[in-house]
Amino acid sequence: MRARTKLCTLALWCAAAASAAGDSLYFKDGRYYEVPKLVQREKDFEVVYPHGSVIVPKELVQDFFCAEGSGSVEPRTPEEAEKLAQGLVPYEGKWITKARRDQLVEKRQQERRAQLDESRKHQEWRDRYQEETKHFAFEFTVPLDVGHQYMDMFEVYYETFAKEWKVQQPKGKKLKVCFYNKREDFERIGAMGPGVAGYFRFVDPIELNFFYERQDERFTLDVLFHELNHYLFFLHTKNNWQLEPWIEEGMAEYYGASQWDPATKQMSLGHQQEGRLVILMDQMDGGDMQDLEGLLRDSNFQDGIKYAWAWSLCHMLMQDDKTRSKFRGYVDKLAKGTAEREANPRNPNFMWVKRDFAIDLFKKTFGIKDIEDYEQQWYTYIGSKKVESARGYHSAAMFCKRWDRPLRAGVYFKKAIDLYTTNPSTYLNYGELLADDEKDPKPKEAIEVLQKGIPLDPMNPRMYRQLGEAYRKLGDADSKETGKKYQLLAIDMDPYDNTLTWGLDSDVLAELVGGGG
Amino acid sequence: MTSKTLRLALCAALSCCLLPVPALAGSSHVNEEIGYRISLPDDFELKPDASGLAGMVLDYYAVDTFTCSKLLPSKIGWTFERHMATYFFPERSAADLAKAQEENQKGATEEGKRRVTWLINGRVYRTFQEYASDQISGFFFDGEKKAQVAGFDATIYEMKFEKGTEIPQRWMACAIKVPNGEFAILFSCTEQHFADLTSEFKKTFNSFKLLDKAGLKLKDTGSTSEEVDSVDEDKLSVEEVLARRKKQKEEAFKKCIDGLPAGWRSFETKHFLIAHACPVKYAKEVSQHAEAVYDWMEEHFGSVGSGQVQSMIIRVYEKEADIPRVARVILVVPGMVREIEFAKPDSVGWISEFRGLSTDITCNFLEGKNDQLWDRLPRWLSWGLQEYVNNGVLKGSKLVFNPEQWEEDALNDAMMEQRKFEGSNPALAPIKPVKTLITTTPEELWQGQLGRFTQAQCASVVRYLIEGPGSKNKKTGSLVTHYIGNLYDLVQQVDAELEKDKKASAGGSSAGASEEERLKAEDEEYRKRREQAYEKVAERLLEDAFQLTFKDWDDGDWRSLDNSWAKYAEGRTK
Repeated sequence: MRARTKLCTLALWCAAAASAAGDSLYFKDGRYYEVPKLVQREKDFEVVYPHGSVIVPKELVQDFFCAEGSGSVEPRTPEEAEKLAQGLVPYEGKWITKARRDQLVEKRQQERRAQLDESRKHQEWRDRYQEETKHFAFEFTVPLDVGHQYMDMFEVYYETFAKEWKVQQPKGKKLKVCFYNKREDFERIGAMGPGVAGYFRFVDPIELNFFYERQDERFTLDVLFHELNHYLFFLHTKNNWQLEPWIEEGMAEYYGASQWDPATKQMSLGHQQEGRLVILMDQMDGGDMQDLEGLLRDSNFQDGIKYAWAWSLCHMLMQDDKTRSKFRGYVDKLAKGTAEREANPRNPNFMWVKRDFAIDLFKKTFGIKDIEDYEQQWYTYIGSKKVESARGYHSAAMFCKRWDRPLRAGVYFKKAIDLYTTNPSTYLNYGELLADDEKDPKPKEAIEVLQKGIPLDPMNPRMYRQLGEAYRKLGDADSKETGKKYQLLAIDMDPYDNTLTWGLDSDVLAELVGGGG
Repeated sequence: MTSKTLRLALCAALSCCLLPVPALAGSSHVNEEIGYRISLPDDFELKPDASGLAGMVLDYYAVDTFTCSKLLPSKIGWTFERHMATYFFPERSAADLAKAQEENQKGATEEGKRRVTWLINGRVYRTFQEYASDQISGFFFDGEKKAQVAGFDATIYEMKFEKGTEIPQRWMACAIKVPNGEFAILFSCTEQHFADLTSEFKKTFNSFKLLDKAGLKLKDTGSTSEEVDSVDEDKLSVEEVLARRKKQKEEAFKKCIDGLPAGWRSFETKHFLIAHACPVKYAKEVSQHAEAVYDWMEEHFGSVGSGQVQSMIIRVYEKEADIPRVARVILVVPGMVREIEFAKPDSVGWISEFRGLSTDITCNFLEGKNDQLWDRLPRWLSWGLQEYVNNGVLKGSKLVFNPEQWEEDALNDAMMEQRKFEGSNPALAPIKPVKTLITTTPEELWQGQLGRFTQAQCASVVRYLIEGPGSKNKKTGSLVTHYIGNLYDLVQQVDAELEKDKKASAGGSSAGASEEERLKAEDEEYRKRREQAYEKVAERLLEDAFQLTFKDWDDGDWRSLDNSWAKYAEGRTK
């Protein structure tokens, strides 16, 4: 049975219990914040900082701890006034002595503190959760709820793949899966550099590692489906054989785009990898076409562009009923067949089918008489695809932003927002773009965008820093003052993050220096 | 021996028997600058500014670093070198941070330095835990215990390294809350030996003493950045650039000489300032070698560009272990006087004695002459050239270039692997056809296990062309200079075109344009920029340079070259 932590509420009046600890918030996505002061309201929480407040919608919060309350009661009726005069105070529908109330509140707070500490404890890798399913041995620091959802996904994915590709896990050899609560832990504990989203280690100790990207859960799913696919094809190949990079990565990307329905616990395949599609659209627009034979021959898949081309080829082959089973047969032959093999030059401990044979087999399998002609069909297939989702537009916008195309990026950000993206980074980046446009700054629009995005990530100081920037750019004295308050609020939220103080105007810095922070 | 002496000797002998034998103890370390004392475990000694301490990060927060001379054996047969480091995380308020940003925003100092040196990284770290979590890779905190050290609250951490390491490790750290911040002592260790060594770590932790009850002192500068220089040399005339180079050289030399530690001397040669702690005889050897490399580069590659090669400073230490290895953040500015830190290697044979020196001199020369060209040299040539020059040894007044031991071994191995190679792609062969070496992308050339072989082959091919049979052959005699010359012309041409395009796009104004028009213009500008992307231009340049240089070559010529080089190479690996 899965443990579920319920959101508890305290009585409206809390005694001012002497507690060494401050207030804290524990989000459903596993984030934990210690805050100076927390006020519980009907639909949200108000986090009070020296320079302003942050409003956190209740639906984001799993649990909270509030050490102090108002402690005072204003009588509303003569009966209440009489009770108060007798030294009684209201508490959960009863009138009890103040001392008794303080005692009960203190006890409740200690319990809640312990509960929060227990939840928080499991975010440390040494105290990670360890649970097993039929095929996997999980170690994770995400909240238990989240961990269990992903465990379901893994099993369904395994069954779905196993059915189509006829794979079987060796008995007693469950795959170890390490699932980290945040990117920083994955990078640090896994000794991974930035830019690695997840990995499947195919030599002993065999394991899969990835992290929970809470701002963009779709990304987490993508990585899960991608990396697990490498394991599944690892099971599919015999001995120390490997598939060519275009199949390994192309199919990992194909499955990576799978969708998951938590209600029905089903996954669906064949969706678009819109981030990759954006890259391909740019490549094709620039005339940088990948030749088909070159892709089939390539042993060195180092960059996202190759992944994109490989994905598109696999997508074309898997989505067409006429080619799907042929492609499966082709892959089966490479994975298990008796063709002559050579050492993988990138990893000579592993073998793969000789290139020339693999290419000839490919042509034979799909009846290709003219490879350039087939290539054109492939390009036409890609050209028929369009970016459709909020996430796809966000990827397109970020691509354009990276390439210093702020106007085009803005168009795509707006489309993502119009499609109700829930990725706060869309709003943050768009707000930044609007405010920082040197030729035509739009601070008013930036403010609107950022204010829409803040409820999605209310504890992100960068949102307020950027909001402050936008207000400052409005230019009038009142807006400048409002902007300053937001910038100071951002620093209240994380005073030791250098990047929040870079580039601040001198009057804002002066206020901090003067002890305003 | 007199009877008195004998009596004294006997007394001494008796005394030794009666007194308890003193326990072996490590030495004590005092840092007066920061203000602390600790005792060190046996076999540990201070190693100032040591870098590469197996994962320990050394930056502004690191105070002292130590190494242990006794290596630990491991189950996989490798040995593990233990290290220790101390850190100080000063207490700073948000107001301090804001004040520092305020200072920094005033711009660089008159000497061109950053005003505040501790605003590094994206955060200000106040505790060891924060710092390690961000800066040290490969571990998780596997234990945390509260303790008391020297009367202060402390936390003892165990840090477990499992993934990304061949030897499982467990480090121990003690973070002590001193009055004005947190002081930490960190030991690295293997998992295997951790239990045996824990008591020695704790002994060091417990030995910690503040020299001043008020706390520790802040580090003096901790500056890790060089000068901040923002002059755009493209806007200067040739005479102005020359004058600027001269001034940069004079200032850098003076600063070096004025700042030399006690016991150091210096002298100037035509292109170098030699500052040395080693005996003057060796310093002169170093200077002679340096000048010989410079002259050789001038003779062979002087015409590759019209830039001014800046002088260099060579610091020659007494021994290799003395060379400080601080991670410097060097802002590269045109004409800056680079420094080489050098010492006679502890062992030579596998690689040549002056390898490190020659690499830096070659790079400095080529960048100075023509930095655009240097950037765009194909990898086989830039790598091969560097490896070739690295081998140079001065015999009399002449540089003699013989392959280093590693190169011979690598080529030997490559040739053995080549006999077993059955693949169809020559780019993946251990020994590649020379044409493939010249035309294949660096990514493909250097992938996987092949990198070592390719490196050795590049060095050997360049040697063959510059001084081997290739240098005497009509077809290949001046191949390298010819190729570089063609590339140089092409680079000039392309740079001129890029400059023209850049000016044309900058001149355009979007004032009064509609949103749609601005968008269209932005898309167009991006397309143009994409066409001019460095990788595309580089690819085109290399293709064109190849076509120009080898336009008269046919398959027979390439086969002859391969056969001739192979014979040459084989003769030099035995």
